[in-house]
Amino acid sequence: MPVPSAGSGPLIAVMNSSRDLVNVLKDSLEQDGFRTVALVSTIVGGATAQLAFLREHEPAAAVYSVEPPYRESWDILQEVRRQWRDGHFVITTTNTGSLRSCVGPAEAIELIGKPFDLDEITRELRRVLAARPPTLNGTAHNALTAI
Amino acid sequence: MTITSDRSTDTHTDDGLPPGSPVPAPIARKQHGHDVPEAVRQQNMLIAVAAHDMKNQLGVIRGTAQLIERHMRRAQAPEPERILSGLATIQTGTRKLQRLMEAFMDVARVQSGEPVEFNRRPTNLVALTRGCVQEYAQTTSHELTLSTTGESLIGLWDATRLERVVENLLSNAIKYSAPATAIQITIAQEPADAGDVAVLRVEDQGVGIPAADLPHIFQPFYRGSNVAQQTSGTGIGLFGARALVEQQGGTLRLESTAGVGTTLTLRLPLAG
Repeated sequence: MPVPSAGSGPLIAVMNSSRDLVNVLKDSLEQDGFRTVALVSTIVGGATAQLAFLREHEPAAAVYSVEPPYRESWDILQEVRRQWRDGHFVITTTNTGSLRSCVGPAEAIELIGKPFDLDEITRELRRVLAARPPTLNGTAHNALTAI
Repeated sequence: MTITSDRSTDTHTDDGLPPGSPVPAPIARKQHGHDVPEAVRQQNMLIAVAAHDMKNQLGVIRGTAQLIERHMRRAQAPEPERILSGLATIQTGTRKLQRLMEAFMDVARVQSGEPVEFNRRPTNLVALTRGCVQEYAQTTSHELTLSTTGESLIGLWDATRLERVVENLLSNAIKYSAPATAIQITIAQEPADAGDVAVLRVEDQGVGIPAADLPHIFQPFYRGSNVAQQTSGTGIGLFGARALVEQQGGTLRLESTAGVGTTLTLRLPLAG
């Protein structure tokens, strides 16, 4: 059972299938003043498991990895975003080209692929949290940004 | 109903065909709206997966280096233990990256019909498996249990590639079963027609594989219909694992019941 780290900063969910990468991201974000909780995205359960995790912990934002097969992974993310509207997503991916083809014209987002700069993740999280503070009750404004 | 998939039997082969049957012609499938020959689609997928896995490892290496740099800049008294731990992570990351590259080169060789050059030497399957189990136990909530009849089971195998196969079986069991469920790993020596064999079984309580998918489950990139839309798994693992096992004189057998779980059984000839 994932347990949030101690501290007083905004809680950030780290969702990635690579345990090693999850550990690096957690260390980095905690050094930068965030609290973290991680889901090493096990594929069993898909959107349902991810939603249960997000609803249990109610993070202010999620650092979310879109992985191959990118179309299916993107569809799961869309379903998660549709049903969990309380937070923001910062998206990481190893294939910006495939993800770009999934993104609709209404979602003009910048895509920068892995291996990413840890400082960039922190900057992006601070930017979206400052621009759109999370609400207590879900309203239709969750932000999507991709790194 | 439990379905058995075993290339070595006459009646229940995993590709649904008697041994020696020709492989069916690949079917062209849509990719980004275009008809793409199956072989090309598979190759594209292989490249995408290789890039994904390698970039993830590069992310770990780069990120850890950044964390060390940050610590050196920010800490008034840098902690040597922390720096050494980070350097160890980087070294492990580079080893994993190297293993990934070797694994994908093997898959490419197998796919193109080229033989793999094995480095066979006395290898202890028990010690090798225990190392893999211990590594995975550090990063999963699953209950991994290893049972063996002895501390040593030695055969003339390629240790690096055998480790890759064992890792593949373990990672599949973890990937396709819910967190905190049990995964049982057993190792034994069993008699066979051509002499004793080493047997490794990995049994999970996961989603299992629908019967209709079993004839295809060892094909490259194939994934079960009950997970294909939900997983980031690529399906290359079982294909590559079986090829490496068979080219060392062994077999890889799969039994699965959808909704109950899967057992993969690896058999390898022991040194005489």
